[in-house]
Amino acid sequence: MPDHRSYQDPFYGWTIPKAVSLCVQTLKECSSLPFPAIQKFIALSESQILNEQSSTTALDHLTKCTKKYDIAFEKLLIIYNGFVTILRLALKPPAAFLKPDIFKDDLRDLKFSEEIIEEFHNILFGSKRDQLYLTAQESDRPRLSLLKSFDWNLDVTLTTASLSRCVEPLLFFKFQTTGNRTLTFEVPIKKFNELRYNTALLLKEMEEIDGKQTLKLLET
Amino acid sequence: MSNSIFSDGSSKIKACVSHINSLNEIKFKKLLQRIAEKTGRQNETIFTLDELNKLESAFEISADNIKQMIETLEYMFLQSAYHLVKPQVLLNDLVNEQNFDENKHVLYKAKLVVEQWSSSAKEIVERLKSTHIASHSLSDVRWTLDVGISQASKSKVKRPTAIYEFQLKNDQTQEIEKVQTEFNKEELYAFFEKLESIQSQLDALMT
Repeated sequence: MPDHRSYQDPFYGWTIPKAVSLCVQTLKECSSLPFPAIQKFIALSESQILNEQSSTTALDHLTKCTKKYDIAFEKLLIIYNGFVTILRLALKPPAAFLKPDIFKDDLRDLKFSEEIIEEFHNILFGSKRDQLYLTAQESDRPRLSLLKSFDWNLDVTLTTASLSRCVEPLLFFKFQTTGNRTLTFEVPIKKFNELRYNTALLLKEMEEIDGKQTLKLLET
Repeated sequence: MSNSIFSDGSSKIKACVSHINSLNEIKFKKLLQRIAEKTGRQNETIFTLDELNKLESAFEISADNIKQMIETLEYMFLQSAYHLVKPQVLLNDLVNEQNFDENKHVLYKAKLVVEQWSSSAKEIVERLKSTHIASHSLSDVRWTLDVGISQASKSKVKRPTAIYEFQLKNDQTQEIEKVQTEFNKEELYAFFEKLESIQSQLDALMT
């Protein structure tokens, strides 16, 4: 079996990102930092990626460690940043691409300690794996406004100022978008039918995407 | 007068009837056709100023009287639409209550009105039915289906995304407001299910 290094780039790309090399260097300088503290950093970086905490929690913890272990705040920040970057880069290629052994080898080449490598491995292949990948795909990208809520009213117009007898359905929509806009508007029945037809068409097209030849290249 | 369909506006009509009775029939018919085409349209005047001036010279009646006549005729159509009158009822009303000239020759005028009403009634009523009261209404829906293949955080994805552009027309200003929203597969399914429930309610209404 040829060494994976001959046919595959490491997971972080073909050059070592500066954030990572600085992290390794700083870790060597801060040899007084005990492993449990490092473990906590790694755990914090995981929740950072999952957006489970605000950035202030991490910074607070770093400040506490500064006082506890008497290490400069900037150095701890560099280490923390390096961990987050490693996780981000590991989540970037498609899920099937990242094999545990190759991943560990790459980390070893970066000169991380075995304990740290084990930690990263547990995070990426552990219980939250799917959630991590989902967050990387869905949250960290630009999106147009989404429809937060969609209310509707179906009334029947019985009489109007211009017609004493007129039995017509009247449809109202209220859209609330993530762009903080509330739109209330009337929908003529004809337009509603067109909307419904087009939505069904879109759904059918979406389902058919998996079958299209050109997109088969994107199988992950 | 209280039996007339036009009980609200009978004074208006009284003033114009003599003018109407004196008009040339063919020109009157054309006038009626034009008025019927434009009755009930919102935000539109039936004749522009230029056209009014031309009518003035054609009919040899002052512009003010012409304007009044046009308004009266439009009013007659609108009231007929309101009550959904039958042509015969309209004819009787015009002749008996409104003093459209009765003699055989000029009775023709009332008949012209009724004929125009019979042919345009459906169209006028439809137009009135579809007038909007709400400030905004949906005038058009545009969409695209895109597939995301790459992003900063993931090098390879296959992510179908539907982008909708809802065009809302403001009825007063005729301005179109464009609202763009994005849907992924799950969101689109949820949206579609809501549309389906609306449709089932509509179907229940119709039966």
